[in-house]
Amino acid sequence: MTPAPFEYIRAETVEEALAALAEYGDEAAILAGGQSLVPMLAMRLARPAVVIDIGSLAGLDHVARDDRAVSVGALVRHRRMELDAEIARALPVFAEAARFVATPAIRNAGTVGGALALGDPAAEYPAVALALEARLRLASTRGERCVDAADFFIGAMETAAAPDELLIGIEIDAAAPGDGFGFYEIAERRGDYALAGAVIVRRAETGTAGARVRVAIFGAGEVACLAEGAAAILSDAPAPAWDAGLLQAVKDATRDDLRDLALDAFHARLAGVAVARAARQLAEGEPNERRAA
Amino acid sequence: MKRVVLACEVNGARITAEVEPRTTLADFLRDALAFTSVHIGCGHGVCGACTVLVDGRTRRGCTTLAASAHGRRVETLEGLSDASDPVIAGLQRTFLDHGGLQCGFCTPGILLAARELLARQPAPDRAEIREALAGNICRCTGYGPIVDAIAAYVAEQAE
Ligand SMILES: Cc1cc2nc3c(=O)[nH]c(=O)nc-3n(C[C@H](O)[C@H](O)[C@H](O)COP(=O)(O)OP(=O)(O)OC[C@H]3O[C@@H](n4cnc5c(N)ncnc54)[C@H](O)[C@@H]3O)c2cc1C
Ligand code: FES
Ligand code: FES
Repeated sequence: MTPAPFEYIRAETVEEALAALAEYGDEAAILAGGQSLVPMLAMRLARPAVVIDIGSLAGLDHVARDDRAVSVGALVRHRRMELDAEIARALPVFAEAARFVATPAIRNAGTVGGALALGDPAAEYPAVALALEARLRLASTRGERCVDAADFFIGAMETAAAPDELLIGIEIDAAAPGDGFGFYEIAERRGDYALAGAVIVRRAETGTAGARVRVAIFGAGEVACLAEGAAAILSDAPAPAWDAGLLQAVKDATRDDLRDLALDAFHARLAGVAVARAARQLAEGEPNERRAA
Repeated sequence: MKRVVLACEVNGARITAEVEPRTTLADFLRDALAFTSVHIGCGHGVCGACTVLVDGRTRRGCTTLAASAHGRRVETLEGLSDASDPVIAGLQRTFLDHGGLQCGFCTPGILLAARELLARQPAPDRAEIREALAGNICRCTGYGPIVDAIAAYVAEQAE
C-alpha cells in the first residue's frame, strides 16, 4: 500500500505551519502523529497535494495548569494523556479515555490535536471534550480564536476548523473536589473503535449540594453529541440515589436523545447501556479495570 | 515529486538519505536499509508486524512516514538482537522454549511490544500481557504460547 505522491513540508514552528496552510489551504493536510492520516493516504482515501508535517514542531506539547484550567498542546501524545500525573489529577476522565484509544504503539504516536481535528464520530476524545466543555484554540495567519467543543464537532469527519486553521491546543477547567466521572466503551475488541461509548462528567456546584451532569456519546451516531435528557435525569438526583430504576430511565432517555442522530436502533440501544454503566461507575466510584499496557 | 532529506540514527548508525515523501518508515527500513525484521502485514496500522522503536518507544513503521523520522533515533529488532539487549535475548529464548512463534511473522513486533511492557511493569500478570499485545495480530499461535513465553520470562526474572 503506497500513498499517491505529494509534496512534503516539515514545519519547524507554528508560524511556518500557518504560512503553509495559508498558501495551500484545502490542498494541504496536516500530519501530526500520522495514525489516521497515513492509513488514509495509504488507502488513498486522502490525496492531498501537500502534507505539512507538524510532528516535530516545538512548542505544542505542553500540559500546563493554572489555578482554574489545564491547557494541553495539540501535539501531546495519547500515551502521555494516559500516564501523565497532572492529567490524572486534573482531568482524570481524559486519562481514562486515553487508555481506550487504539493500542500502545499507536498511542505513542497519535496526538490529542489529531484525534480532535479529525472529528471521527467513533473516537473517544470528541465526546470527552463535549462532556468537559473543552475550549479548542485555533490559529491561522488571520489570527487566533477559541471554539467551544459544543460548536466544534459538526458531523462525521467534519469540524468548525477552516482549511487554513491549525488546532493548537485545548483548555479545560480542572476537576474540583466533589466532581466525578464515568467512562464506558463498548467495542468488539480492546483497542478497536467503539460501537458506542459514554462519557459522564459531574461537576459539583460551588456553594450548593447540587451538581451539574453532562453526558456525551460517541460511536453510536454521525457525530459525538450530548445526551441532554439523560443528563437532566442525572443532574436532578444525587448520585447515591442512582438505583436500577433511575438507570433504566436514563437508558430510555438516551435512546430518545439520539432519536435523530443514532446510526440505527441498535447503536441507540448500545449508547443507552453505555450511559447506564458509566453512571453506575460514577455512583459507585468504581472505574474500569486497570491494566498496565 | 521532490525528494526530502532524511537524517536520522538507525540501529546506532547515523544515516542520511533522500526519500520520496510518500515512503513509509517500514518501506524505507526494509527496502533501503535491508532491516527485514520490519514485516509489513496490513500496511495500515492494524496488525503490529511493522513495529519499530522511535526515540525508544514502539511505533508502527507503516503509519509513520520515513521523512517524519528526521532527527530521531530509530531501532529495529536487528539493533536489539544478538544479545545486545538482555530483555530481547531472554524473550527470544523463552519464545523458543514455549512455542511462542510458528511462522514468526508477528514475532519482531511482539518482542518489541513485550519489551515496552516490561520496562514499565516488570511483573505483569497474564491479563496485562494480553492487553499490551492487543495491537499485535498473530495468525498462527492462538496467542496462548506467546503469553506463556512472556510469563515464563517474567517468572525467571523473579527468581
Ligand atoms: C489501528 C488503529 C486503531 C485506532 N483506534 C482508535 C480509537 O479507538 N480511538 C481513536 O480515537 N482513535 C483511534 N485511532 C486513531 C488515532 O487515535 C489517531 O492518533 C488520531 O485519530 C489522530 O491523531 P494523529 O496525531 O495521529 O493525527 P494525524 O493522523 O496526523 O491527522 C489526523 C487528521 O487530523 C488533522 N490534524 C492533525 N493535527 C491537526 C492540528 N493540530 N490542527 C488541524 N488539523 C490537524 C490531519 O490533517 C488529519 O486530517 C486508531 C488508529 C489506528 C491506526
Ligand atoms: S503492517 Fe503496520 S500495522 Fe500492519
Ligand atoms: S507466528 Fe505466525 S503470525 Fe504469529
